[in-house]
Amino acid sequence: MFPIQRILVANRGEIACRVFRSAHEMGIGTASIYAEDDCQSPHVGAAEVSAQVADYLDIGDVIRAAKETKSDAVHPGYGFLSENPGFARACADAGITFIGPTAEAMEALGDKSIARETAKKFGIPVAEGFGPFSSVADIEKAAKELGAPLMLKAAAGGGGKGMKKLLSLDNLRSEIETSQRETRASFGDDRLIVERYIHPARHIEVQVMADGQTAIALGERECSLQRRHQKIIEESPSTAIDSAMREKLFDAAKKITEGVGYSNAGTVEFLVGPDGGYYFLEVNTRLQVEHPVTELCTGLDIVRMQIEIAGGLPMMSQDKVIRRGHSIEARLNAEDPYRGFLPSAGPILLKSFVDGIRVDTGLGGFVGTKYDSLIAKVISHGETREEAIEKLTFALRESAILGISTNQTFLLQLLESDFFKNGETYTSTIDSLEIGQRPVPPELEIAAAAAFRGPIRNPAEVWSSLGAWRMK
Amino acid sequence: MKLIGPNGEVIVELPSQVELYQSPDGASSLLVDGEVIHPFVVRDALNVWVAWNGYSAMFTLPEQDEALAKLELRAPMTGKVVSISVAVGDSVEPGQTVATLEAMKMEYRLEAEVEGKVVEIGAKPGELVDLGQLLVRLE
Repeated sequence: MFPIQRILVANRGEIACRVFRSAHEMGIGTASIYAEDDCQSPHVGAAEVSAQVADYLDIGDVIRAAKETKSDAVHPGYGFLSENPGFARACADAGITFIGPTAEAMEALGDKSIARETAKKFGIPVAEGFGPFSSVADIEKAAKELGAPLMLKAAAGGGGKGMKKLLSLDNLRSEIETSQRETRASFGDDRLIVERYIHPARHIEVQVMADGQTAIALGERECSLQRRHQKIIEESPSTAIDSAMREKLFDAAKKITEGVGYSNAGTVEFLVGPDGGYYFLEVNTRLQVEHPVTELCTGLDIVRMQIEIAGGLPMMSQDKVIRRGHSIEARLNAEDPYRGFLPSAGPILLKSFVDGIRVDTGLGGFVGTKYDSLIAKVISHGETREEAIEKLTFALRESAILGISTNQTFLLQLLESDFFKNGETYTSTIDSLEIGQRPVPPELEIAAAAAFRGPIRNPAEVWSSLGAWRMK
Repeated sequence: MKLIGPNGEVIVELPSQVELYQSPDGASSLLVDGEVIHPFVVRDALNVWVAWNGYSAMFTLPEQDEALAKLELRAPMTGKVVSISVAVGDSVEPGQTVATLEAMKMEYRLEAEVEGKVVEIGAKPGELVDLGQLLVRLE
């Protein structure tokens, strides 16, 4: 019998639904948790049993929920407690399998400053920098020593939380304070590291799986298109590297994870600079939002592999990993790119996605502002990059979400831009765009005016009256 | 027709032949001068949301048209018309019930907000109506 009987997912939204799917396929039981204000979200009902928790970040309460639902394993998803060694340890103490690395491996890699030192030990290049520091004075001093352009980063976690790019030191103190406020709110830890800003840079990351001794690389993902340091389009393979560079990145990623006895899924992030040099950024000791891109290129189910490794099953060998074709993911967010990417909230009046393409979503009837703005990931795969772009473009053109503002049109503008088509994407690309107004074609205005003029007629009548109309 | 869209006020010149057909799930067919497109359209009493070809926007009627909007009594929800209590030519007072709807076993009385004369009835008793469908137009 498989050693895991029931998995509690200590998360919500699309990633909770994603993990439940693999568990259901494997015949493993599932449990969801929900905060009081989130009880109607789809992830709650996607599991066999569920339990209310005070907060998704409340370690004690999540452990209690796991016991109450008779779960013998916990999958943390991404964000929330996924990179919290205290949570991994609390699971172990309660006799619950944590589907992820050990607390020790997490500590060695999850903290950016320790990860930097670990990388250096293995001869992997890192960007120049200092830290971590908690006191504003120390951070200020380090920033002045390094000089602009620089980055302020949360030592404790990723996802762009607290991350600030400083092209000059003019507003240093207020930037530090803002960064620390965000870091405290996201991770309960306000330590920052100060690092050289590499520009123009490509963000390229390597997906690894490890079993505590050996690490294998499943492939790289290029995630250079980011807004506010949050990725919105990811693809594999990267257009920026050749096979020699790919091997270098894979080797570095395997070395650093094997070096700390890492187990489970991890992502080693690098920046590739204008000189062709690569710099280790950080390791995300968890499942990534963009993992489907690698799944579509390899045909593997990364969540299944995570569960198997946590259950003590042998991991596949590197020579069995075969990559094919090209995959692109677009993140549909509840935000308005034409108003500075302000988050948008409200009831979902309509949602429609096309068939025949992978859509990972946990979207319910309402989007609030309390949680992440991600509402769906649309992921295409094709033999070539052009084919993957065409499929994703078509899927986004045919999809609709009404009731809130989304970045759907903006994603299409990116996919259809010359720089994207040419594979010229850098971490600074979106920030440097003149985004302008929301494009509103006349068809929308006419449909709106016709709807206001009403009455709206029943579609059953359409065929009888179509007659001479032709389809466009 | 004047509308407020995401980028401010717009004047929409409706082509001579425009018809909008909508199913309850929002999928629509818009016939414009001999061509058909398939937008998604949702409306409530104040706003219309439209998505088509990867674009989406919310539209509102300008405030000056609010008085006009009050003369159009529309279904506040998708449901069944139980009764229409006025006929074309009747005068109505503010607060007077003009129609009764039923949905989820709950009855909802649609009342006139302003006084006026009934010039159009948009639905019959027993008919299923969509959210936003015109029930009674006053003058």
